[in-house]
Amino acid sequence: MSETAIKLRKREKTSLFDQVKELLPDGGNLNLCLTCGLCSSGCPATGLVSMDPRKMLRMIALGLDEEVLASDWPWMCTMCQRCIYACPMKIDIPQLIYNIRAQRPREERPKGILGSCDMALKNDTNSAMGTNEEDFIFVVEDVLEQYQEEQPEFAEMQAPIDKEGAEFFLNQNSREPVTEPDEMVPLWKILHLAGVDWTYGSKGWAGENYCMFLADDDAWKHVVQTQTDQTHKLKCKTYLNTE
Amino acid sequence: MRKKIGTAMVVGAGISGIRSALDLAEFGYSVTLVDKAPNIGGILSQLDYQFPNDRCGMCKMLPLVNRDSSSQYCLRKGLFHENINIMLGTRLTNIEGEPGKFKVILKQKPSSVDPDLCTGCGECARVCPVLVPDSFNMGLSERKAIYLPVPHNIPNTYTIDFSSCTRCGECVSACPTGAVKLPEEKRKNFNILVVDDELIVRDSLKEWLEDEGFSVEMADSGQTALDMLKQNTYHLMLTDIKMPGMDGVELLKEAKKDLPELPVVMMTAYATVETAIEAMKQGALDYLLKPFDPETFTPKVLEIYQTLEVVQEIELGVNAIIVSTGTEYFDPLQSNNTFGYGRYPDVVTSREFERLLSGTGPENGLLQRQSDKKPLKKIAWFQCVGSRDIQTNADFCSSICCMHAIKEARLVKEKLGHNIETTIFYMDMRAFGKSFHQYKNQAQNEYDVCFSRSRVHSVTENKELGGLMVQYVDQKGTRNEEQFDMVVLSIGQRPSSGTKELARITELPLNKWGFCESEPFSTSLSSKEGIFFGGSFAGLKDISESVIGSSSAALSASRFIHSIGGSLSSETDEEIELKDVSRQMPSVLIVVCTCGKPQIEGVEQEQLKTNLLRDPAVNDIVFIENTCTALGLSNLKEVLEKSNANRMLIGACLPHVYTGKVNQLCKGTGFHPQAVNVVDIYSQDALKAKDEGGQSLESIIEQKLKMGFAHLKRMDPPLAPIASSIQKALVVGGGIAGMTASLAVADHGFKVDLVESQDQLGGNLFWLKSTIEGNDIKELFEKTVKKIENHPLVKVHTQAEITCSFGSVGNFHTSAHSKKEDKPLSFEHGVAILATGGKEALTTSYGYGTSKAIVTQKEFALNLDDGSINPASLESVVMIQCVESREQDKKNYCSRVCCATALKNALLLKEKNPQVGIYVLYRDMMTTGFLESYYTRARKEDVIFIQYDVENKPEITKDGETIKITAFEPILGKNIEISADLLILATGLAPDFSDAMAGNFGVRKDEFGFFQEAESKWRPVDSLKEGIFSCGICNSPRNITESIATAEAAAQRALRILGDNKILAGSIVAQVHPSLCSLCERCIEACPYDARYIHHENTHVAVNPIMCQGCGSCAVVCPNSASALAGFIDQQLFDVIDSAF
Repeated sequence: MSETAIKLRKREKTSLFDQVKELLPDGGNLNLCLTCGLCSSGCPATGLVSMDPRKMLRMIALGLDEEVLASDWPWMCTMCQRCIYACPMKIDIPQLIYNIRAQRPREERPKGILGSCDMALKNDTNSAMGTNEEDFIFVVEDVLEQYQEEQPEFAEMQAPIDKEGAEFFLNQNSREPVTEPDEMVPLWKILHLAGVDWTYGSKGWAGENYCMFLADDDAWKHVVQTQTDQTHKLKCKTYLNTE
Repeated sequence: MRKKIGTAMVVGAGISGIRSALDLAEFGYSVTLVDKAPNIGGILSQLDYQFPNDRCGMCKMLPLVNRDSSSQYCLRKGLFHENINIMLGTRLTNIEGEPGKFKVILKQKPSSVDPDLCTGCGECARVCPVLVPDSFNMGLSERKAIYLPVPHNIPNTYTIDFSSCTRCGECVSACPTGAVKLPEEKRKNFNILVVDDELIVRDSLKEWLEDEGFSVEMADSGQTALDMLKQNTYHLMLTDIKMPGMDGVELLKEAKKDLPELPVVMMTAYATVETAIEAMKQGALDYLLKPFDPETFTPKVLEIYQTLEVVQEIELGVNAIIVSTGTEYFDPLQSNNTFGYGRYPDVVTSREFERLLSGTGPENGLLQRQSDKKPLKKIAWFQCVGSRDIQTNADFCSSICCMHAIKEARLVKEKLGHNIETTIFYMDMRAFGKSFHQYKNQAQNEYDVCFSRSRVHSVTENKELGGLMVQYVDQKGTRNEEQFDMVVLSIGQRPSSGTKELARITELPLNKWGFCESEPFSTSLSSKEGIFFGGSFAGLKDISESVIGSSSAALSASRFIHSIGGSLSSETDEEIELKDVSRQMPSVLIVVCTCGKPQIEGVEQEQLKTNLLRDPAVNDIVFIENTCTALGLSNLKEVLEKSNANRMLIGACLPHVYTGKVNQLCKGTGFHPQAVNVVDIYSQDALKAKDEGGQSLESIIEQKLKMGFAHLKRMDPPLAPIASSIQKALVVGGGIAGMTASLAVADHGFKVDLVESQDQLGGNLFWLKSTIEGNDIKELFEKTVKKIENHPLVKVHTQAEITCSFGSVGNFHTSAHSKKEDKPLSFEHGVAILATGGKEALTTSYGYGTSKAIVTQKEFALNLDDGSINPASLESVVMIQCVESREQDKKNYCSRVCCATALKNALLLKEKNPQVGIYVLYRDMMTTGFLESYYTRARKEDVIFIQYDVENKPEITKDGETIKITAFEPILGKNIEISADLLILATGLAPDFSDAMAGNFGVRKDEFGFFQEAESKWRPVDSLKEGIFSCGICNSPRNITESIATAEAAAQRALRILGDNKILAGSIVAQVHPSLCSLCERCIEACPYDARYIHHENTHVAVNPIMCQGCGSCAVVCPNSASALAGFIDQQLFDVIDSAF
């Protein structure tokens, strides 16, 4: 049995565990784990590739960095935060996951997320679908016009783009303008009926952020920066995230 | 009853308060016992069953000597003691004066039901139209606005809950004794000023308040209000905060200038709550949140009115104060994670579950699924709800929930059958008391309770099957989904709601979780002189710990009172001497209570009289209205004084109500209380028999009276036996427990002989340096030894061994042999306290003894101390917990100190060498109470904890200097191999309590070799043989502070006896007719109190009346009727039976 046994001795300060602890406020409470299993019982990814959050944290605590980094499980986490929400020790497992993801060379990260992030970086729209400014403006105006005509009670409804001084800067998942344009309308209607002063931005309108899920700090920052720059440029008071 | 000058007040009348009060009262102090609730008993009044026997045993706390001074029935139903004044519905609001001369201000809510008139008949509740949730049943059932706070109390006076009472007056007219009076008139004279700029608010408030009977005036601005305040008298002002012009806060300031006493309540919208709180700092009484609705507004104002107006202020002088207000429970709704509590009816708290299990509960103990009232098949318990959870500010263990859950699971099996499936989801099963582990094992093996080491994330409803769905992962990480019919949340403890206020009044600091904490090495000393903590107020304790802690508090208070001269001078009571009526021809006065409205009248009364008077032993028959009320009693006294009868029979209801009253009556008249018999002629049973059997009420009454009469006729009222008592104590064992007990007794002015087998005092204090909290043990050791050496009343005998002891309470004779002087020693003493201690157990497991790198925890501490272990040179250390502990045929108990010791050592090592890898292999971490925070700290310091099961213990191999430890890591499901420079074994504690020692003092050893206490919960330091007590590790595994608490408790128990040079037995004791005794000795075997012995002439068995508790076991087993219980002799009981038919 000693062949497969995990060998332990001194604590290595260079471990992944200690690196991540350094980064997080209160060390993310990572070493407080009681191994109670609450996180795993509530995690939608428990059992996938024989892993679960408690097991992952335990492996890192015992210094099994290589195995954790080699596992695809951290990429199966949805970042839903059910674990930290109820964890009796408030252990920041989502942040741990993020930092584990960041350890993998960028090109080796899952293709879907990687591709979507790269696509978002191509345009100032940040759209993971690759939609550019002109296409977005066209679709929004077209759909709006259609509804104004077909539904007279919404004849006055607006879907402004780059309206300066609007109260709210609204973002938009970029799948909808491309595949399901009608899906944008219900929210417009609500905002219209509520008399809300809002606007889309021609830049930074895409709400999804695959770069965050990719654990690519710089790209994530770029995406957020584009959105906030546009918000500031339009002098909007509030950034409304629909994602 | 002896009385001493000293007075004490005990705040909180749960079991802790009761224990402290009884201890002090038995020693002779007069005690005021107050509680804000309308009943005594605290949380325990709602709990029917306690482990280990799954029954209640609270009554075992009642006095054992001088039994007649207090009630001798179920303590959950009520209590009286000659030296205790119980004040209910009372709050402590201020403490003035100085230690020893406190002036306390109490506020008592007078009940609108006169306790002297209320007979508890329940007519009022029957007619009351209001139905509200009943807090006694945790809101699971309903009660009326006039109700019994605890349905089983005796005497039981109804109480009005004014926040729900509609003052319809139905109860007033229904009450047959005129006991209910509504405070209608007073409200009319209570003027309320409502200030608000909005007319609609003013109008509706006026309407609601006038509906409640108050006088209301209104002002539309601050300025108008100020003008009105100058002209009229108002008793309360309600003011809006946001008003144009002068706002509410300004108005408050201005009004307070002229009328500093005016109670002002701020009214505010949620947004300005902070302003309202600010206003409270400037003298506002409270605030009310807008928008208002009458359902919430009215009760709130009524509550304020109650505290302001109805409450009566009482000032009292006391020498010492014990605070034992207990704890409260965590509300799951206060957490992020509610587990569906409040949403799914099948999720209940452990306290609610306890009520559901109870025969007096909302469903009469018929446990069923709450959502659809279907039978239950599966129940789950979730441990640590609101405990060991930093998200709810609970970095502590509530200490009681594990055992509570195990008990509930076992009870379910017992009550509903073994086919009910029970699962407890837990992290560590903290069965940490002496017998707890065994209780848990029984639950697992004999009751099939399933223990699942897992904490559950959340609960969903099972719409298909009903009940709930629980998802959990097992140790391997496999996710299971299981249906349960009910989920019980084992809710943790929190400081009681009044703690903050008490801390303010007493000026005592609170810890970070809001509890008061006691001083180092004590569970009862506060940082304020004269104020002491009892029970769980200053920490998280179960019943036995609370009982020990509150006896320790009583000791501390008593010592303090003594130090200011309180116990020196005794008062003599001028009591009328009891008439000795034994051997007189019986002449029985029969009193029949007519209970408000006569149940039988005219002709029937005459007939009853004629029938009963046929027996010449009947002196007379009188009918008295409401005998139990004050008026009835004074009528009775008058009749009694005129009568020449020497026995009295009272026919009424609820005989227990009379216990105290009869005693009082007898004291005033010299009538022997044992010559009075009260029979229940109006009970439910009697009325039921009438309805069912068609028997007439008068014939039932006659029959019952005849039975009572038969009992009295042959009653030969004995006078309680008195024995002389030696006011000296013997303490065996000079460790911290023995030394503490000796000092505690000697500080009260009694001589103590302290016998120690070693050549020096100190025991384990010799090698211990400091506690996990960092308290200096060396200093404690030196200080205590010095005190002992300098105490004029303590005589120390080192190198002395007890050789034999005999005698009984008050009169023991013990011999010892002094090795030092090589001569026999002999002691005469009234009590003995056994504190023979214990030590770290030996082991041969895990290669112990084969390498110097394998040490015990004690050796580690010693080696660290003498420098033979250098922390800086260590790279990796492994600790194995529970070595030869909690195992069949080994030490099958938890030693309680090892987990904390491991943490202490781990933290010490980490402090000296942060790089050292420390691995603790444990079975269940037993860091109960606030110790949990050190477990958290150790994890924070990167100490790694790995759980192992007893079936799969770690294995050791040696590799030169290095020890290789292989263990199974359950989360990863793999073996781990640790190369350690040092292996530290926690071998646990073993008692030093020899068979000879137990035999000498006539006490028993338990199955683990510790002292067998009389009762683990209620009498944790007593033996069944009165006069012998034990404390420290020979009693049970304990740390220093806990040992000290047991020592103080034992001393306090001893002081009850040492306080007087005579001991009064109870009047009901066993007797032996020597001529009938065949010396078969069955009675000696049957007597649980060792009160029987063979007479020195070897002619018959004799009884020690002081030790006898009047249980009657001897009379039952005696084949010749040679043994008999006074007041219950054969002829008497045969007569009673005969007259029943």
